Amino acid sequence: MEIIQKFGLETKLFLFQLINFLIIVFILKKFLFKPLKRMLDERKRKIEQSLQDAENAKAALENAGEERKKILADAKVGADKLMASVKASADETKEKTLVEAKSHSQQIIEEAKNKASAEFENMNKQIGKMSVDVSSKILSKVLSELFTEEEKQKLMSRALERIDEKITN
Amino acid sequence: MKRSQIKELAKSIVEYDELSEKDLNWVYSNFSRQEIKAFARLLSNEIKDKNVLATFAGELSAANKSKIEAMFPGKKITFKRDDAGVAGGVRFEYSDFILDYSISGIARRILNVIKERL
Repeated sequence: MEIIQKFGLETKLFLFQLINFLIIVFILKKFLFKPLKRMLDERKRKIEQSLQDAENAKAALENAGEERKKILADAKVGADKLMASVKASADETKEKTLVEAKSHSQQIIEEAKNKASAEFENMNKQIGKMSVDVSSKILSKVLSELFTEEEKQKLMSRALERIDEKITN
Repeated sequence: MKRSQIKELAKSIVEYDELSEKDLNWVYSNFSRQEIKAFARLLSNEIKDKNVLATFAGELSAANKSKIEAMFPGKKITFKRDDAGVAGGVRFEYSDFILDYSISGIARRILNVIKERL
């Protein structure tokens, strides 16, 4: 107590100051520390949320990149397939057109051949008929001068005999 | 006029070988259009039936002429010499028939067969 008195500590004053200190601590805790802590917590939460969002956005971006790559790859495969299909179709059409053109040309050639053959045959017949007509004219001219008067008489007698035989039979 | 009467008229005309302008005028003034057509057709048939055209080459001997006349009794025979068209033998035309025993006819028939087979 002597020491305390030597330092000039007043018990009453000390108690009073202690009570004041506790009151101030209480007031500060109640009205300053708690809202401040709440505000800091909120801020911390927001920062964490932002970080999380950023993390998510990064992941989403990475995913989008993957998705893009996948879509592009799918599109490329689709385009390749379509290209192959178009090429196959074009080849098929080309082949079909070629076959049809070949068949058509073959048909035209065949028709032309048949027509030429028919025309040749027809011409042949006409020439044959003409030659027969000419032969007939030449023959009648030659025949009229071929026989003598006596032979003509004999031919007529023979013809009349044959007619007579026919009538009799 | 009946068809039988028209036929009889045509037959008489051909038999007597007589058809004057007067007869023709009578036919035209008394017959209808149909009767004239029938008369012309029957007259044509009668002429064909009663007439024979004998075409031959060379001189016609009396013996051959007699033979021909014997072949067509009661018919009027017209003899025609055609050396170019007959060449040899004889050819008869009567009614709707042709009896061709001529060299040219045989040659013509052969050539026609060749022509058909071309």
